[in-house]
Amino acid sequence: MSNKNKWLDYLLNIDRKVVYVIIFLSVALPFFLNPVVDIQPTKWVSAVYDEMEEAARTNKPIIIGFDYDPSTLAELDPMAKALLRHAFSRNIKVLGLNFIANGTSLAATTMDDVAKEFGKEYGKDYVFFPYLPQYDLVLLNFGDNFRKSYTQEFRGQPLENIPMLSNLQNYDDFHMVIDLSGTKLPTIYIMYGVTRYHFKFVTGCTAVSATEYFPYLQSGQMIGLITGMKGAAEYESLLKTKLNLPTGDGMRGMASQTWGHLVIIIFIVIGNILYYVRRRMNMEIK
Amino acid sequence: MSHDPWVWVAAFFTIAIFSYLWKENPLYRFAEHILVGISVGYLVCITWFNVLQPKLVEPIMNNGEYVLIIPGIMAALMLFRFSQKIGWISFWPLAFLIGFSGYAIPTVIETNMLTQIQATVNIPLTGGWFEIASGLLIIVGTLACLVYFYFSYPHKGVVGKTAQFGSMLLMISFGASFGFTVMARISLLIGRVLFLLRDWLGVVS
Repeated sequence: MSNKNKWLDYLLNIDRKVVYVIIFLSVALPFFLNPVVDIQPTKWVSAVYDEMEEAARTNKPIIIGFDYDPSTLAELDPMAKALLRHAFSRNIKVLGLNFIANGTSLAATTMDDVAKEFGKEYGKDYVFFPYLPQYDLVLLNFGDNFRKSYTQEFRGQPLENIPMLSNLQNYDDFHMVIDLSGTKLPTIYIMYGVTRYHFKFVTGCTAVSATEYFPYLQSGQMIGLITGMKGAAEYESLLKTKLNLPTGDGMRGMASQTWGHLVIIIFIVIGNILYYVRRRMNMEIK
Repeated sequence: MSHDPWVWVAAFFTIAIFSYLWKENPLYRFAEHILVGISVGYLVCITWFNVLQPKLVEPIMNNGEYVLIIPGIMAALMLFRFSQKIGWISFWPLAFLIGFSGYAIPTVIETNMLTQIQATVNIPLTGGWFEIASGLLIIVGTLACLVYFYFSYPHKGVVGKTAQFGSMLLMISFGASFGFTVMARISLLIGRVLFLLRDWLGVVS
């Protein structure tokens, strides 16, 4: 009995560093072993894909809000790249917005990198607006004319010099608006944009905030939702299947995600079983 | 292995931050302070070049839009917060901001209450059995959760059972949130591990 207790105590008080090492290995090993992971897109991600195709058919530009900084880069950047690849491959013009100051350069770099892959030209095929505070007022102004808030684009050129913007002035001129963020900003877009101006809206969020946004899907305030790295992988899988575009970091991380989850599930199950066994043993002793 | 010095800098700081998992150490502290300093410095630069210069300084200096001096002064008054003696001056612009934010009330009510209630009321109980069951679960679940937060009547009998059901649904929702949180944290780790193995060490393609 005491030998059993010793083992139980050891396992229940295992050093957290051992747990860290096991989780690290479960995440790192799949990059070397490359196990095949089959990703099935959810209907909310498929809805975003279909809407992007519709934008290509109607030949209308889209707005993407790049509202993330380095702390959520791993989840939202693969999503941003997948959406941009889809847009540029179908010749959809993209207007980038940003309300998170620390993510400004990240967003500009991501847009430039993907545009380069498809030979797209800044100002003609895509443009990025600089960071502005008071996003609520900016979003309200956008419903009338974005020139009320913005006088120049990110690189400092006046908006009059940007050919892509010549016939654009408010939400009506865009097919849809997508916001990628780990913050409350998508809710702000819904409050000050969708509620008043009724445009098609999509959120790409971190997995942590996913449960917050499902009610907006059910109410029809959002037409699609991409959640976390898995959402990015789903979109990449659609691009691969339907347009034969190469997959990115979202898909690359899915095997690690699966293994990591498996390890955590095993830890939770084992921990609960050990806890239950020890409680039973203590009750028997009493 | 990468030849880009900035990749090496990023790798150094990634490892420095991860070193906290072993224990608190000077390397971690150093990385933490650098992160805070750079973030604030970057924020100041972005705010100056994207906001203050084009929207305040240049219009006043070049276009003679002197009316902008008023919001400029209001913004400057906020800086009095740092003073213990005359910090109250910052309450003036703050009062303006808080008063002005009243315009958010109707839109918040419409977005987060009226539309959500409408969506729950108008659930079409049609289609296959799964759609009907989902619709019913949303209606019953919403009502049960609302009953759980109704404290003017003792939670006994039918009300108690309904509240208990609502509480159970809330627990399921917290479980889903926790699951998503685990997923998010693992994703962040994947991002860093991929950076170290691919961009820095170049050991995976």
